[in-house]
Amino acid sequence: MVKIYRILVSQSLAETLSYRFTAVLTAIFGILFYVIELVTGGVYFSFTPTIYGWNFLDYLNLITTANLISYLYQFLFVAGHEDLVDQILDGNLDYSLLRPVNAYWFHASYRVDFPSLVTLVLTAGIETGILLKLQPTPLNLLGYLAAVIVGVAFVFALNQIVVTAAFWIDGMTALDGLPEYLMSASARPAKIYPRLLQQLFLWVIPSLAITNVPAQFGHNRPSWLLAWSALVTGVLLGLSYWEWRRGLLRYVSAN
Amino acid sequence: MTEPIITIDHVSFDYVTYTKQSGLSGSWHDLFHRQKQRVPAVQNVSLQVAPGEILGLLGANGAGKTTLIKLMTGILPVRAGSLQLLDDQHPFQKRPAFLRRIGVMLSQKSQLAWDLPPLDTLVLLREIYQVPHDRFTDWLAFLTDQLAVTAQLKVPVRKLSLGQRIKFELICALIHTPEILFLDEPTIGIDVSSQANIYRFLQQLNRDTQMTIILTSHNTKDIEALAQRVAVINHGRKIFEGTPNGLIAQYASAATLEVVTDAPLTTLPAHVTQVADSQYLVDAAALTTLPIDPQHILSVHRRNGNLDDILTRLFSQEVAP
Amino acid sequence: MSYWQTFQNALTTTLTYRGNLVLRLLTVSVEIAVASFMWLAVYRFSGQDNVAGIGSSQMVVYLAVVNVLALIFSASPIFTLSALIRNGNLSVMLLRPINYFRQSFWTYVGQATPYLIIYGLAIAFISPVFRRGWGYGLASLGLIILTYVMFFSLISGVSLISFWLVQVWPLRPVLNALFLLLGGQAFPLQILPSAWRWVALNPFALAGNQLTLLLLGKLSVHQLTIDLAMAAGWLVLAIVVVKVAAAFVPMRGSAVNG
Repeated sequence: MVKIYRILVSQSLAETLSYRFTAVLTAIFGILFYVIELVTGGVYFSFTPTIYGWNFLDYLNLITTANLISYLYQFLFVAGHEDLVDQILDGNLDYSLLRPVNAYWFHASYRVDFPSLVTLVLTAGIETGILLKLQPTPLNLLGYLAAVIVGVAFVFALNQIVVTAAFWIDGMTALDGLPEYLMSASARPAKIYPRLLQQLFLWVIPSLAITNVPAQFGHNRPSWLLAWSALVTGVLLGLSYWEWRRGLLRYVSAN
Repeated sequence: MTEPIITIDHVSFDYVTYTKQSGLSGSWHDLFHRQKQRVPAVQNVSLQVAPGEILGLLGANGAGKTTLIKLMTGILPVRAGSLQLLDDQHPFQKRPAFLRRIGVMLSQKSQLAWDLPPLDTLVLLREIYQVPHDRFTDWLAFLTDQLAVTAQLKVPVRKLSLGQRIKFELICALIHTPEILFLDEPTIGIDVSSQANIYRFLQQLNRDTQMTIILTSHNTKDIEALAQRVAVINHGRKIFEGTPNGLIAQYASAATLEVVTDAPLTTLPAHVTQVADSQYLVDAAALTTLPIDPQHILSVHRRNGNLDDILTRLFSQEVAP
Repeated sequence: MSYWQTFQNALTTTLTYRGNLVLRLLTVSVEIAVASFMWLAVYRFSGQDNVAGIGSSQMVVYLAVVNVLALIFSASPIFTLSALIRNGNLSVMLLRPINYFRQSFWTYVGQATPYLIIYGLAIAFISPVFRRGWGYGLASLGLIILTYVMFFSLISGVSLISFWLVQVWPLRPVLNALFLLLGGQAFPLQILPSAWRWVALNPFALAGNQLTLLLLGKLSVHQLTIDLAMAAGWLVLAIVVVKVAAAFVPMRGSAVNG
């Protein structure tokens, strides 16, 4: 499996290089949107030094971490997911069904998106700087890293669930952007939202927990929500796998 | 007959389609109570294939031959009847050990990565099928040489001609040396010389390695060139099974020959009618020998003995349910 | 008339894919909500109810309106044009006895109609624009129309130029980013220090920030006049760009100008 993944990664690189110009532009836009978030954050905090106990550096930590999770997902999975939607809609999965490997993981890891790597490395660099200033304890740092990994898995599961829905619904292209919107709406301190929304997005669909928890570990405020969000992520992954199996059955019986 | 490598026993399969209701209330209704409709694609088909055999599946578009291939390869589950390939009775379970022993080429779908050279896809397949490196190198060199595409191995797929692409699709299906090769419409849309090349190669492969080949086609040239035995599928049912010549013998109109000569005959023998300058119809039922000088004959055909004509006639017939 | 037909087709298409329309409105509502909650927190913790002349409840309206404007001023003509150039259908379009850009304009209007209706209703019922006398009302209407035509021409010009520079598709995120930052979608531009006020005169700001302020009744006669002049200026520039760039389209450039 490792060998197959290595080949898929090198093929992704080869494809990226054949569309160099597009790749460079994509990387630049990623940075552009991050800069806009920074400027907007700067505007917020030019009126007040803290918001619900978050100062500008904490806030930076929050949005940078949220971006880090999002770019990690993009780098590792987004191209595979885009490809999968096309394959499902074009009815092109037949060959995948014939391979002696697990098709769920094969499609999930089919491509890595190298243009996102540029923005990913940049974001990781900035986040390292922020963490050096925030100085989390080693244990909290570990919690931070674990929370980021859980975050990537969560975003992956959400997208996988939405993408696989293409087995049943087509023509709803706007649906694919839903997880992205959810995650970007969640890249804010949870407390700014009304209590009901907070409860909903911390506990039921814990997208706020996914972004807020690692940031909290970063400034030494560990939270048990990490365990809960990990659990929910596990359930979502299971759900996406079940959906995939159902989808394949539907694919073969209706195609 | 030796132990068959494929046994299809009274197999049936239907597709499920959903009827859509119109309007907003209809869509809402559909969301919860959709009208299922079953469309039979394969009905009660039985067939056996011996190891090393080349079997042609003939049928019009939508006749059910591709569905039959998908059932055999385990893409589709068998709904009724039973099916055994090699020693596996449940292809749909897709055991890796089973999948490694079959090779499939579906003409309407591609397994080549569009922006990369074919070699990249093949290397990926090498790892997926766990082909040893040295075996892979030798076998690939042989395959590309035989199909005359060695020079295109490192050219991005989007820059290849259709014929070259089809040949690489074929190589993809063969790279792990399967015991059974399934080809769905292998020569669709490619030029005559590429077709000839593929025919020659497949015959040689079958002869040298005893690879069993199942091919579907509505191109009768494929069948004439390759198939040792054919099964004709129409509206999901098997309506004929036997040799290509047996098919012609069964369906060609009896007892009329079409003869073409190099020059018009000076005198017209009995039971011979002229249709054009040097074309004649001979009523074979009334004669024991051909009353035309063999030195002047260009060709002799059984009237309606052309496979294309026979199939056109067969496929246009409605089969009673 | 064929332009009317074009408009109808575009509108019908938008309404046919109403699932996408609803989802888009939903996602925009979410964006508005997120920005609003963030600003309400800023108001709360800064202890003031006035940020650069905008009160907290007005800020929510501002964010709602500017986000609807972002939908109206979309970059969609770029895709239509690039698709036409790439598949070689532009020359076919140019052979028709109909002006390509006028037709494309009516497609643009048709696609934005649902959002235009929302903005129009807000102007008519919520906004104090028409309570400030007919002169101001008409001038406002003039600004809206002028800005709309200007923005369309500018997008068309940019897409024509960019086709020769780069592949066109990555332009959409750039235009979105520009609207976010320069159009006042991320935050109202008047909170910038006074040395940066000129930013509000860029075409994106005219379309986003200024039209929102207009609706909120926060545009003085003086500012309205300046905006009208700026919109006219940008429009002239855009038309020049379109004419020059169109001349470089290698097929029947004169027909583009038509």
